[in-house]
Amino acid sequence: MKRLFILFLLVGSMLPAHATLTIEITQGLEGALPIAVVPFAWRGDASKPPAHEVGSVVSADLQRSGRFKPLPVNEMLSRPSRGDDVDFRDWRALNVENLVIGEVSPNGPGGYLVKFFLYDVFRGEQITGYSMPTTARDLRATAHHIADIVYETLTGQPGAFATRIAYVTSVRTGQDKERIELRIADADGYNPQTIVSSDEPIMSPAWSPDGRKLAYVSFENAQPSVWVQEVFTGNRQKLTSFKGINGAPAWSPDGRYLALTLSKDGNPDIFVMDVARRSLRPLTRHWAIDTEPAWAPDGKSLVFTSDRGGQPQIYRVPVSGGPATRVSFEGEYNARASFSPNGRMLTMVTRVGGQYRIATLDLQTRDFRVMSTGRLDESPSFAPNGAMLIYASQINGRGVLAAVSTDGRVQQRLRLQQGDVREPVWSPYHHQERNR
Amino acid sequence: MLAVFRRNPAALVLAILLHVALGVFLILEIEWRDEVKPIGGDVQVVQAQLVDQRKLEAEQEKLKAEERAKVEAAAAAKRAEEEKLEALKKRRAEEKRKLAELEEQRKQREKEAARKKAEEKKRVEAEKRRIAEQKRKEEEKKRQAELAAKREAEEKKRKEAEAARKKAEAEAKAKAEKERIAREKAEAERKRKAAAEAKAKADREAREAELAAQFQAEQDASEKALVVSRIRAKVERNWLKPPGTGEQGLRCTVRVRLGSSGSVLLVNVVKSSGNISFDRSVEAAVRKADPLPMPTSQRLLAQFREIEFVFEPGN
Repeated sequence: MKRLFILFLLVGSMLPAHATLTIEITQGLEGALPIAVVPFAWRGDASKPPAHEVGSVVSADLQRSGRFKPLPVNEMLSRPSRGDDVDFRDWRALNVENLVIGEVSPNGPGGYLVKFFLYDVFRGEQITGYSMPTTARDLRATAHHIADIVYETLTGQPGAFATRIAYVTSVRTGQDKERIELRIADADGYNPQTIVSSDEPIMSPAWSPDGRKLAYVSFENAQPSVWVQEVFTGNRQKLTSFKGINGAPAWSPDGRYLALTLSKDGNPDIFVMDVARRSLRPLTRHWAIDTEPAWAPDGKSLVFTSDRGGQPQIYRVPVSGGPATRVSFEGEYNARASFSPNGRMLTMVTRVGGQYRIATLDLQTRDFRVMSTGRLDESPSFAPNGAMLIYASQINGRGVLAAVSTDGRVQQRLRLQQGDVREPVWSPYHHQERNR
Repeated sequence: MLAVFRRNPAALVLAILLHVALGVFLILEIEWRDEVKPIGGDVQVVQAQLVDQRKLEAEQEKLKAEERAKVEAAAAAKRAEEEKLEALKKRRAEEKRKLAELEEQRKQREKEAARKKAEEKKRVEAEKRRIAEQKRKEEEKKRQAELAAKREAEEKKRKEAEAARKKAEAEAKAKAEKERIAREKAEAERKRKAAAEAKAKADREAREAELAAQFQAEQDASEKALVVSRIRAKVERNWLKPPGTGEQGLRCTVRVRLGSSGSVLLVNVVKSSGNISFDRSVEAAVRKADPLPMPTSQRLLAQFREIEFVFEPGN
């Protein structure tokens, strides 16, 4: 009996040999993914290289996202451009988890063929690879597209590098004279294009959900009006020009409606306009100032800024109207809210100790985080993948574009441009796709 | 010569007689000179009682001879002398005979005495013998008695011996039985002890085996815990969580197959976190930790050939 018991004991002690050993891992550094983007090789005439080095554009995109930490080129042990040349040990030694290599070849007059390969270094295998024909003009866009593919492959989220931003610049042109321009540029700030130019202020640009139109407020003719302009054709039309304030247009997710601020009845309130019918219906009616509306991605509610509580705070109201509920509680001043693409977060301007900064509010956890460190940061908006925020910051009295990864880990100024930059807004995805 | 004798028988006889006479004279020379008177001197002595027939016959013979001599003496001149001589010689012979007779008588008496003595002696001896016989008989009787007694004693002794033997036998038997019982008892005891010892030994061995197994299990457990903690440390050291994923409650389980030296052969996501970058970071953490620490114990090695890692950021 005892032996039997021992036998059972022994058998029992042997059982774990059959059950899989399980080890819990709870601790780890949180940080950007080490990646190496080897400069792409040029296979054409050495004296006529492309204007842009594709690898460096990809690398910069990935770095800007905050999710990746590209290896500086001068630290690379080898610089392969073809799969056969890759020795994974070189990259394992540098603890680089992923590797991007590629090459650019001439492809007909003014054309290029870009090939790239993405490798999992520790698995020792290729993850993906593409061959992409492009032109000199679109070479950067192709690079952004490669960055998107790498980003999506490794994070599971779509990249937002091949998107655009719209922003307003003012350039002093003379004594008391400014040239105000509405521009769009690549998400990294390159390739700026002016779509509207004015001597009067231009404010509050807003992308239509399909990325083909921008709504904005123009003070041309000394009267604020809301305009909608097609990005590619330049065709535009004035939507509203009521007495008083016509401001802060915001597209509904389906693109059929614009929410905007009107003070035609005396007090600024939020109205919703059926764009096709030009019909208006009030959304808020309050003695306080209600402005800066923004649609939730599901289109069922909007947030706006109101000082009905004595100080500007963010409130939320159903799209059908009705009582608004306060959303922001931290800080004495919160304004200019907008939703993250998944609708879970808001980004807004908050005042902290007299400084205006960018903050995010998690609508589920109520986690409120200040994301920027400037003195007069304003106009935050999410990238279409929700991974980054773009906003305007003041440096030496001049507005510049800045970006921060949604986790706050990476902050950087975008490469820009002369003049004062304000009110940046990130395009939706569709813009780029329609552009192709 | 013989023929001479036959022609002169008388001369022969005379010659023979002469020779005989000469021989006698020669023999009786001394006697002849000194005549000795016989001591009892009578012929009647000769007629004395004869002792036996033989003597009687001898006497008669003698008488015959004497008669013949007398006859002869008458016949011959010198025969008287001769007879005289013969007589003398006869007296002397008589005397000698008488002497011999006396001697004989003495001898007879002595003989008788000796006989009597011998008889007496014989009687005494007989008596002695009788006594001796009696004594012998008595002794025999005694001896018999003694023998009987002895026999009896022997019998008794024998019986006693028998009894003793029987008793001894019985005792021996009893003793043997006792010994047998004792032996059996001892054997049983020995067996019991042996069994008890065997059982004790088996128990001890079982316990030792149990302890050894327990010890081994403890040792294995401790080495296992050590290796697990080393693996955990190495994987955690290599785990780079994607930014922001630490607070999203993500959890990813990977099954990892390892070579005997700890080399990562295969990493399979068996339960995704739903977040690709988190899953990738998990796989990368395991691959970057290659080779993983492995136990030295062969027994444990098998347990480490396949490991499930559950990655779940904790606080």
